[in-house]
Amino acid sequence: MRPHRALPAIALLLLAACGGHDRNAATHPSTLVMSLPADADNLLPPLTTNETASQVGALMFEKLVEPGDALNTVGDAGFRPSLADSWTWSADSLSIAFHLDPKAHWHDGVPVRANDVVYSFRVNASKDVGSPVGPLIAIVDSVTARDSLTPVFWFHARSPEQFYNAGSQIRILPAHLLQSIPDSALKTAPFGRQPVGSGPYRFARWVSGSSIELDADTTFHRGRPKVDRLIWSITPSPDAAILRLFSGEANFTEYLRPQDVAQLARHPELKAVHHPALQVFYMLLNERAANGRSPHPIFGDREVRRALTMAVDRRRAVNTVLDSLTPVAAGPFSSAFWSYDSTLPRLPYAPDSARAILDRRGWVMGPDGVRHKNGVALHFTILAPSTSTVRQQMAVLLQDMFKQVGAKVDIERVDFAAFNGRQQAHQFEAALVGMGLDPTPSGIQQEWTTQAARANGPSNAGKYESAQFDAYVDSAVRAMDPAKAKSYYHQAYATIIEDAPAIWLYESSLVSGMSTHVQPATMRADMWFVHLADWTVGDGAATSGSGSVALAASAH
Amino acid sequence: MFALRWLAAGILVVSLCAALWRLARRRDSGSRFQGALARYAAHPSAVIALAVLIVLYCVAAFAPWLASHDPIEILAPSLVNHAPSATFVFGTDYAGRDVFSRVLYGARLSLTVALLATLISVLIGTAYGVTAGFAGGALDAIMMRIVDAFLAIPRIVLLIAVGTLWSPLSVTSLVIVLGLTAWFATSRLVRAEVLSIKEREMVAAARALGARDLAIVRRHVLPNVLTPVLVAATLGVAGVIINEAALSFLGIGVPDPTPSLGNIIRDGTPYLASAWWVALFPGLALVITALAYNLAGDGLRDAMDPRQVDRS
Amino acid sequence: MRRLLASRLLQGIAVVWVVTTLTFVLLHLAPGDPYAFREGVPVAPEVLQHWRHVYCLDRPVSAQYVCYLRSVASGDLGYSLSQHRPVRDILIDYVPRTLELMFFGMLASFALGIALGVLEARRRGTFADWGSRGISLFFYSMPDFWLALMLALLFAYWLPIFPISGIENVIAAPTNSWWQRAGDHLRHLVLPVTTLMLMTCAGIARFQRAAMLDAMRLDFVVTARAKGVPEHAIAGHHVLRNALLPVITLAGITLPSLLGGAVLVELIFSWPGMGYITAMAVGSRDYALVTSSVLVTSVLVVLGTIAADVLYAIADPRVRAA
Repeated sequence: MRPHRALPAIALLLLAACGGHDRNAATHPSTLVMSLPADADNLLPPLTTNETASQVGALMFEKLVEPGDALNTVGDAGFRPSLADSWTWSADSLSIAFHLDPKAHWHDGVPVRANDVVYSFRVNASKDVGSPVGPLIAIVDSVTARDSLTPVFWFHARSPEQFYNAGSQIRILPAHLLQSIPDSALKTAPFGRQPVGSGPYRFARWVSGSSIELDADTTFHRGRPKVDRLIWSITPSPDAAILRLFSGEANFTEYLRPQDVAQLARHPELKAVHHPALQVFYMLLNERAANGRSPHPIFGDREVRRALTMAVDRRRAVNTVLDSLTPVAAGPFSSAFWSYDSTLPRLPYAPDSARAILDRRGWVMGPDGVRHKNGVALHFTILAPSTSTVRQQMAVLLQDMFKQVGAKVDIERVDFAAFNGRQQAHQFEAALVGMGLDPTPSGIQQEWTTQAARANGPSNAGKYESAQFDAYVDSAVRAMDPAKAKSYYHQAYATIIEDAPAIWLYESSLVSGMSTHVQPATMRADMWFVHLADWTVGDGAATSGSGSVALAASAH
Repeated sequence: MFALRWLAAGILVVSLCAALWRLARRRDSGSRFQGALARYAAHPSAVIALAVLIVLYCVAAFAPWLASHDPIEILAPSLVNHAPSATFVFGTDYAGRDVFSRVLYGARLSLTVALLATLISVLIGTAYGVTAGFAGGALDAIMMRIVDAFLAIPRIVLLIAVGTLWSPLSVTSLVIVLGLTAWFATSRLVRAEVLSIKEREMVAAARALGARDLAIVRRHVLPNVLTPVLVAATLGVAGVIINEAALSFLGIGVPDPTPSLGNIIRDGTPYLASAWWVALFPGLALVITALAYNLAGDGLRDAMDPRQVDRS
Repeated sequence: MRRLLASRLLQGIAVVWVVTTLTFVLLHLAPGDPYAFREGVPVAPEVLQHWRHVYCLDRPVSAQYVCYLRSVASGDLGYSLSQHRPVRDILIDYVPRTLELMFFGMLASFALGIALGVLEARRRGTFADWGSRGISLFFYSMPDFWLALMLALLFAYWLPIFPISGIENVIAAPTNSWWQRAGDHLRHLVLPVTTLMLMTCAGIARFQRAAMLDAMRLDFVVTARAKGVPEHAIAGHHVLRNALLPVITLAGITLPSLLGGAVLVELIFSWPGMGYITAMAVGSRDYALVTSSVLVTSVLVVLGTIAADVLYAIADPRVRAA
């Protein structure tokens, strides 16, 4: 009676035991498996700010030129050819002609032509599409095609970074596949889920919620990529992503937290690699009230913002959540920038001064330990992304520190996409933002000027407006002399630090975890994944365990 | 000093249990209640479960007195993710908070929420079931179809939908939402009881004598319904506790920094490998509570229904 | 039989209709406008246009309700603002994986539950009975996500024999033969299915035990015993067959609890099914996805219950004759 009923179960178990480890490693091409906690939403670059989508897009689509690893974005000396072989400046520097590599072709075989560049520029500048790099290419007047291999960029004025903005902001898209689709319909076009690019990797498959796979394009015009397959292995949370690295199902994960680095020490087949990252984390304060027009009752007051900054022991918070090696951020810029100097002012940790200021500004302490002014309580909500454990923990610490000076704080968690959305729609009071900085200090213009505030776009969500700051930044960006530019930047930085539109928390460098078989190429500070095609996987073969490199993108 | 408090609490609990045991042991016949109590006491598992529940609720009630630290207070950064020790019986979490105190307060909150929500669900379910049972006909059919529909939705899915649409939920709203989603099975039970009572002669007789429906409800329906409803409620509390923990785990239950057993587990999940104590202890607390309620409910069911054939 | 099927289908449709009404009510009662600029994500103009037409957004609430019913009936379940595609496409991708989990989960739960129930009934009153009941009740009282976490902890760090996340080995998948893929798939199923099984088998075991004990008292069993038929033959032929019938009806009750358990189990084991999507929709406040999840799970439960009823009718000749 019993034995025959058990047969199907035994058969299933046998089947289960057989599948799994593939014993013949040589049959597998070398594979990079990156584990990450966020699925992409759309793979068409102008349509997404999703980190995963950006990484996948960076390997499928090319720019005309790429910044060199030193990230010198002024002039054209620090750039390397990508889709374009070479370029020519006009005598008055008001136009630049790029010469496309004639060997470059789309993954469907069609060669890349100048009208692809014309189309890509138009799409990225279009209001209907709303590309995130739209404001960055505003200094380009137009793009024309002199002949089938020569797109020309036209400017109305010179600027130190005009070459960078022209050649290195937009990724070139296939006009022959996309131009028949109206701009407003691009978002729902099937191309977003099955793209065709010109880059070193071509699209293979996208299993929703599970993985995105790219295969090497062996006919890529700059040489065959060394890694045969790239797989982004998607998990629901950062913990699961790191777990995949430890279990061998992935061989790379972008972001290790301090406790994971300690854990990694116990795995001799894994290594931790530190690399610079241009990232600043801060608590952005929305200076406008919910209606978007009148000043926020708490954060509209400069003195209160300064008081709240002084209520936070930033060094201790960073030590608790991260480690003592992580630097406290000075402002919305990296200490690695040439514009940075250590003489910048810093608001100290001084809770007594904070309380005094709050008293002076009319915030009277109530019996319940919360301050009030004109019937309004010193009560606000911090928005944090649920994908970032560090920021969530930071929020809890901040909540406690604010309580000590009489502020009542709630914490709201939403996932990364919703977090970005809320920020862009200005639907927040305080938000723990992680900003990936442009490789150039002039990026501060995009994020903190009055023009950005008035544009009602995704930038300057806190609506910080300071004419003084605008003036300094403008001078700094226009100055062709580096010493002058640096002093202007110093003034600009000092202004924004004193105005405290955000509480500057920390700068992070990235610690990535990977298998010892993986040899990364240079991990550029703004985009560590840009040279993935040059990475190698040790013995060249991949098993189902270590040996493949999994790239992890995380909205950490 | 704080060990003394535990000793005092322990003595109190033991004496309570002893009193209950004496009450059960009394063999003199009389009320149905004492007979039921004696039958209940015959199941050792049910008795232990009841004792555990009493202990849990006493601990929860006296939590502020029994906790070693403040549950929200963030201690020094050097005490982050500390293993269990003499000072921190269950260790500390990522923010340097004492897990033991958090579990005590969390249990207190979770137990209270579950009890209140079950109370709400019993009230709603009974009212609904009585109405449907007495109404009969088309109204009854419609009302029961609605209950069927709700029973077809997995409870956690419904809770997630409501929790997301009305995010963030305050603790009061959480109690109400949990109560509003837990009454369906109760209403079915009550309605079945009402239907069976409607058949009986005494009701027909009462009606003939001119008694109004409400009086019938009060005198005949409610006492008979009390038994199955009590059993269902006891078993239901276990479900509500677990659902509240699930919601807090997902982030749409009890808000930070107030501890609830579910959100302590959530705090401990990123550190499962290195600081497993943060996720382990609240989970054990949940299991013990739910198990106690389940065993107590089973014992109650067997004890209160003498008509049931003894299956044990 | 046909009448049975027809009546069950009608009841099922009524249930789905009530649930659809519920989701409509929830969407409209909730704060914020479900069709607008939610969470600041700009909605493409042609999508807005589509909504205005399909959901009759410019008309009064009663007309909107009718439009909503019509769109749901035609399979249009809304647009996910977090994934930027129609909910229907998302469901097509993710629901089959949950169905797979449900299938194996039900199979395993019932297999273990029935086996335990039989064991407990035959060894009634002995240590095996108490022990089995105790252990299954212990697992039944566990929160599903905690059990999943503990299993993940066990199998990730101390006993790495089964994968704790994903649906397949992404590296090997494209080059594997079909039976290698099947085996790989099954290995990834082991832990989520085990979690679901441990949690659900107690209820089934208890029911089966009671049914067995009842059946054992039946007349023909007593007669067989008196005639000297050996005990195990009685248990096998007479008792079990009669006792299996009530358990089929249990399918209707265990399916909602399995689907509910699947939400957190899928999340923790990264099994990308309907439950996983529901849990992720919480973080992105995706109204369309959470309400569709309510709808889809209830439809699944209705279908499952109808299947169970039909199965019961087939198995029990008494019902069929009716």
